Order: sequence, then C-alpha cells, then structure tokens
Amino acid sequence: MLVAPAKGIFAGQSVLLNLNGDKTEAMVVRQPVALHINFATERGVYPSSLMGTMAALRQSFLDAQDYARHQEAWQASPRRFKRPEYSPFLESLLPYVVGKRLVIFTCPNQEDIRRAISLAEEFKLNVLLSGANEAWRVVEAVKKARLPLLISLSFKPPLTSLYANQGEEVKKQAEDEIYPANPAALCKAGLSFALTSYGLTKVDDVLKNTQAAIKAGLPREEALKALTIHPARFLGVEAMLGSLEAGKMANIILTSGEIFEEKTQVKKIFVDGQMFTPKKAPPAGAGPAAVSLTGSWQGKIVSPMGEVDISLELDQQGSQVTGTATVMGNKRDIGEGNLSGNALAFTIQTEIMGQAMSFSFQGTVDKDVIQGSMATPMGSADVRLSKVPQD
Amino acid sequence: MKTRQLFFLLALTGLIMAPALAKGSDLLIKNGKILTVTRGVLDRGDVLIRNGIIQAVGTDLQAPPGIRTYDASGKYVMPGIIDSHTHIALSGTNESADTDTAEVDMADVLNAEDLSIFTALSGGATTACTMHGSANPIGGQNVVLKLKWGRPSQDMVVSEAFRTLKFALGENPKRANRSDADEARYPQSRMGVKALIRRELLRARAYMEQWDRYLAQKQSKNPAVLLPPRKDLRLEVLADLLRGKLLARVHTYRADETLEFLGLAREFGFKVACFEHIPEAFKITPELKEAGVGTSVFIDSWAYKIEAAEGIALSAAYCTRQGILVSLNSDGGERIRRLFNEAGKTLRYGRLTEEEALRLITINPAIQLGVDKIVGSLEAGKHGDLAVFNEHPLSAYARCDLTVIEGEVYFDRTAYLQEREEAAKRAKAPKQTGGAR
Repeated sequence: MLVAPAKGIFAGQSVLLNLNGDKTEAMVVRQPVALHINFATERGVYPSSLMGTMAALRQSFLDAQDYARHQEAWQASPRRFKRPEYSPFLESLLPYVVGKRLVIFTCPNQEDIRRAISLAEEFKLNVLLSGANEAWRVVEAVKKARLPLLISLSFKPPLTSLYANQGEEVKKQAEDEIYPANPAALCKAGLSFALTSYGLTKVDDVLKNTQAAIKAGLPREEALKALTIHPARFLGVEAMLGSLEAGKMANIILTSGEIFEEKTQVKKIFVDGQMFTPKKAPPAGAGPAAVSLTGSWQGKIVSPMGEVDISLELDQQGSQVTGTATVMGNKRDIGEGNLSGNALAFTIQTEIMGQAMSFSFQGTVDKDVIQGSMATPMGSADVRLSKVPQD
Repeated sequence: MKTRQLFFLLALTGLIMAPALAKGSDLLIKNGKILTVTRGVLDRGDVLIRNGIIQAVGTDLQAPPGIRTYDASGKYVMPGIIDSHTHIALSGTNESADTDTAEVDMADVLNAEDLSIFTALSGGATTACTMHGSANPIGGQNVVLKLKWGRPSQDMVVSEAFRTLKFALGENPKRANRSDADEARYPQSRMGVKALIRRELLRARAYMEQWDRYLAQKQSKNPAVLLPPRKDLRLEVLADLLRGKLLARVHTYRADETLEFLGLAREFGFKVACFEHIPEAFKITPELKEAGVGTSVFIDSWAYKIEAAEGIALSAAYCTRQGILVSLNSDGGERIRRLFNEAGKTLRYGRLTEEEALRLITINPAIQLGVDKIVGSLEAGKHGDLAVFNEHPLSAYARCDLTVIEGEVYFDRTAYLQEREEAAKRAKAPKQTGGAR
C-alpha cells in the first residue's frame, strides 16, 4: 500500500507499506517513494488560484534546477563560487526534479491530466498520473505522453465535469455507467494502469468498484494485473512484489472462489509470510458507538458574511462518516468524514468558477447537537446543527 | 428548471458526439448572401471549404462528389465572429494574491467543459481571446481559442495569435469597489497603480540586462566560468514585453490614465496591442491614432461605476471614423452569444456602414489578436470559420442557424432543436420503458 500525504500543492513524500502488523517500522518496504503534487491552491496567499499554482510549480522546479547548479559548481570549485544558501524546500525537491525520482500528480479531471503531462514534458520529470478517472476523455494525449496511470476506483464525476453540474440524475448516471468504464476504455486503448483506492471513503468500495469496472468491460485478467504487477512495476518494486514467484515477498491472499466474484470471500491473507484471518465485520450500527451520527441534521453556518442554512445527511459506521451536505440548495458529498470519540471532522468539496474548493469542518458531537467551525476561503465560520427527530 | 436541465443534457450530448478530427473538414455552403467583410457582398454565392480551409468564395461553385452541402438559400453567411476580450472556458479569472502576476498563463487553466463555449457558438462566435481579469495592475498572459466545443482544450488554442499580457488601471486594481478586507493592499490609488507598473518594468529591465550580460559573456571568446542568473518567470514575461515578444492588453477607463500608460509604453519601448473597455476613448482619438493603438469596447454599456460615467454610445462609431481600429468585446459568457446585436447598434449610434459594423466583430479583432491572416473574413486561403444567419446579422431579428469552424459544424440549430425535442420525449416517457437518458 502506497500511503501519501493528502493536502497542499507540494503534499509531501509517500511510503510503501506491507500491512503486516502493528509495528510501523516493520511495515516499511520503501521510504520515500514519490513526491506528491496536487493542483491545489492556498487561501489568501500566493498562489491563490490554479493559474498561480501552475506558475508556482514551474518556478519551484526552475529554482530546484538552479539550486542544483549552484551546489554542484560550489562543490567543484569552492574557491570560485559562493556557497549557496541552504534551502530545505529546494533540497527536498532535488531528488525529484534533478534526480528523476517518481513524481505523482493527482489529476482529478481531464484538464489536470493535461497540466501534469505538460509539466512532465517541460521539466523531464518521472511522472505518474494519479486519480485520472477522466483519462478516457483525453486518451490520445495520455497515450502520447506514455506516463503510467494510477487510476482511481472512485467513479464520482469530478466537480468540474459537466456530468457533475446537471442535477442528481445525470450525476448518478455518470457515476453508475460512464466513469466505471474508464479502466475498460484505457485497456482498449492499449494502456496499462494500476487501480487504486484513492478517493474512496469505504474500504468495501475497492472490490465493489473493481467489479463495476469489470462489468463495464475491463477484462478480469487486466483488473488483477492492475491491482498487483502493474503498480509494483510503476513503483519500481516488481522484483519483490506484484506476482507469485519464487524469491518475491510472500504477500498472498486466499479466497473461496474466483477473486472478483461477488460471493467470493477472502479466507486468509499472508503478508511477509505472516498469516492473517479476516474477521467478519460487525453489522452496521452495531457496537458501542459513543454517539450516533446517522440521520438528518439541520442548522446554520454563521460567518461575518451572514448566516446560511446547512443540512447534513450522515451515515456513520464506526469512525467512518459519509453522507451529503446541502448548503444554499447545493448538495455535495462530504469527504474525509471521521468521528473519534465525540470529535467530528469532515470536508465538503465544491466548485466555484471551475475551481475546486474544499471547506473543512471540525467540531464535536453532543447527543443531538453538532457544534464546531468551518474553514472557508472567506475565513472561519461557526456551525451548529441539531438532529432532525425521526418519526 | 426542467428546460434548463434538458438544455444541459443536450449540451452534454453535443460533447459526447463531438467530431474526432485531426484536421479540418470539407463543406460547401450554397446559395447564401455572402458577407465577406473584406471583399464585399455576394448576393447569391457559395463558400467551399476543403480540409478546413476556404478554397473558394464565388458563385455556382462545383464541389467534388461526397462533400457535405448546406443550402443557405435566403440566408446570410458571414465570417465566424471573433470576441477580442472574454473570460470563458477558464478555471479561475484572477490570481489576486499579488499585484504583479505576469507569470500566470490562462492557457494553463483552460476548461473545455464551460457551457459558455456552446452558447457562444449559438451566436456565431468561433474565436475568442480569453483573458486574465482586472484585479491586478499586471495580470497574466491571455490565450486565443477556437471554440471547438467537445474537443480537448489544447486543440482549441490558436498558436498563431500574439502573445499578450493583461494590465489593468483604475478602480479595479486599486480595489475601489471592494470590501474593507482589501484595504491593506498596495496600490490604493491611480498614482500607485502607475508607480507599481513602472517599478516592475524597471525590475524587468534590470533582469533582462543581467541575462544579456550573462549571455554575452558566455558567447565571448574567453568565457569566464559563470553560472546563469536565476530564472524568474514573472520577470521573464515582463522582459519579453520589453523585448517586443509580447504585447500589452490594457484594461482602462479614463482618458488621462490611458495617456499615462502610453507614456510608459514610450518610456520602456513596448507595444500595446489594444486598450480594453475605454469608455473615454473618444476624448483621445488623435493620441490613440498617433500611437497606432486600437480599442476593444462595449457599445452602450456605461455608468455602471464612477470611472465609466462618461461613456457614450457613439464612441465606437466615432473612433472608427477617426481611423482607430475598434473591436467589440463581450467581457464574459453572456454578451459573447449576441455580439452581432452589439455590432448592429452601431448602425443606429453613429451610422456606420454595414461593412464597418461587421468589421468590429470580425477582421478588426482578428488584427488586434494577430490572427487576421487565418480568420476574420471569408477569403480563399483563410480558415473555414463562418456563421449562417436567418436574416442580416445586423438586423434585430437575426438568429444564428449554423456555426462552422475549419469546415466542421459545431452548432446546427435545426439538429439541436430536434435533439432537444427527442430528449424531451424521452424525459417524459415512463421510467420503466426507458426513462430519462
């Protein structure tokens, strides 16, 4: 499993883990693996827009090249050249910009794919495209660029997509029928790719959505490769992972039947040769949850700009919280929902002027009241919601 | 709501069905009244497009068999409309976290899925310059697009166009109409705006000289061991302005400020492609003419803020007659679909001839954008970009029926209305027998 930092333009570096137990150090297969870059923006400071982000990325890559030139010149002839001032930021970019280690661009929509391709070409970076669930729409460009793809198994149309902006019916149809066909379309175009859980909030959706991709035309054989040998190859670990071969790590799963069949159950899992037996998940709602969020909530967001109504439809399973938020008539999915004790956090992803924005909520739950604050591009706002009684 | 949704659904169909072409197509437009703009009017004529290029404009043209033919009998055929200044097809308009953002490029933030592209086509528009906003004294680089709805954004970019950089003077960059939150930002006055631009140009000049010295050293007979100066993208773009590789497009309202900017252009030796909006242009026509700088304006939209108070509806026609190159712009996704109405107003306000009026939305903006060799009129050798109207496009009753880019039909009103009707039927059908698709 490649675990990557999520937020910011230069999000940070990822680590490859074997899920072999509870000791973190023992889990690490490779560290660091890649530099992760998002086409995100800053709030209030530069770059505050996507166009600024593109310029800032270019400037950072140029500065890293410049820094490397200076370092090299000074080390070669310290008498002639001034010692360059140390920059931790540029120093950490060097292996990726000059050393050609993996750079992973998160590309939620077709335009982001185009942007990543142009940066990869301009700066000769060793790039993987992640997310890319609109790769089918720019398949010719992707083919030409020959960049490996880490395709997300989340089939929600991106917020910039026309499919996301024409009401629930179109959006649902796109999610059920159009976007699941992305892997099949790429396969048909002769591209190899990995399938990833990026963008999914429920663990079960990995298998469920792989099945949907197969139903939409992805050959099973390709689906299996996309979850094993292709990612191993893309991440440069195919000598040790990705297939059942003598000498590779003993990471194996045993199932009751054909791996992508709906009724198939995972019986045993071996990681680094250690055996794990999956436990049956407790039925939803069971267990001693401190508070229950599942249901409808209504309340207000109070900001210096005024008050707006907000309503939430939440579904809580253990610490995982999913659902939708409706603000000023716009219904959006909530993401990164997490309940820990009585502390609740989630984000609402939306889109303003073609630019993705996220509003993050942090607060607490006390029986039938959710209270906290929401960070918005206009500043912080207080939020208070009450549970709508069920009859 | 229902209609709106239907419309979107159909626009979507258009997106999916869009032609997948590498190069232009073939098309013969027959028997229309041909308004060439630069070569007069053919009362009954044809336009033949081969591989996306106009092969001939004339009468009784014979097309090789198999070529798609459109019967324009009783209709008017004009060059595709060109919008010299808009903000459609973008993810974001301003990088407003700084006052000089010359490094940002609108070509980086294209959004091929902006519905404004489709609605613009429905008004005969085929080419548009989509620009950085006016939040900063020095904004970003603009991009010229062919409005090829359904094609990937990079296929829309017109690489032949001038490279241009947006500047903005007056109320917008000094944040006169903003909330208190912006008060801290320099500049807060018109003198500040000019001083800031001048400061940045001086920095760019020093940067350029630094690079010139470096390159001269490197190319000399005994080059010293030197490291190149740091590449600064912001100054790089401004240096290109000073080198004449890039032109200024300047958002300006008042005559005095406009003249001051021309002073800056003279001082630093850079070129202005065109002044934007400029409601007070009629006050300074001799100066504009002398500088050889045109304008990109609205017709009868003024007084929406203090600095727009002195606009007049006659300005576009008056400036045209004074020998200034004038174009009309939409500044957004709405007016872009009825620029022919805007041009029509100059027949009333200023009594321009039909040809002069059409020039404002065709060849004039083409010249300003540096694309007049390929678009802006119906002439053999130019791109097959045209619009067919039911009436004279300057008539108040005009309606665009067909829009063509490089020989390919991107908007066909009849086909579109038919699709819409069918979609409406499907939407009404009971879910179990098909439902909305």
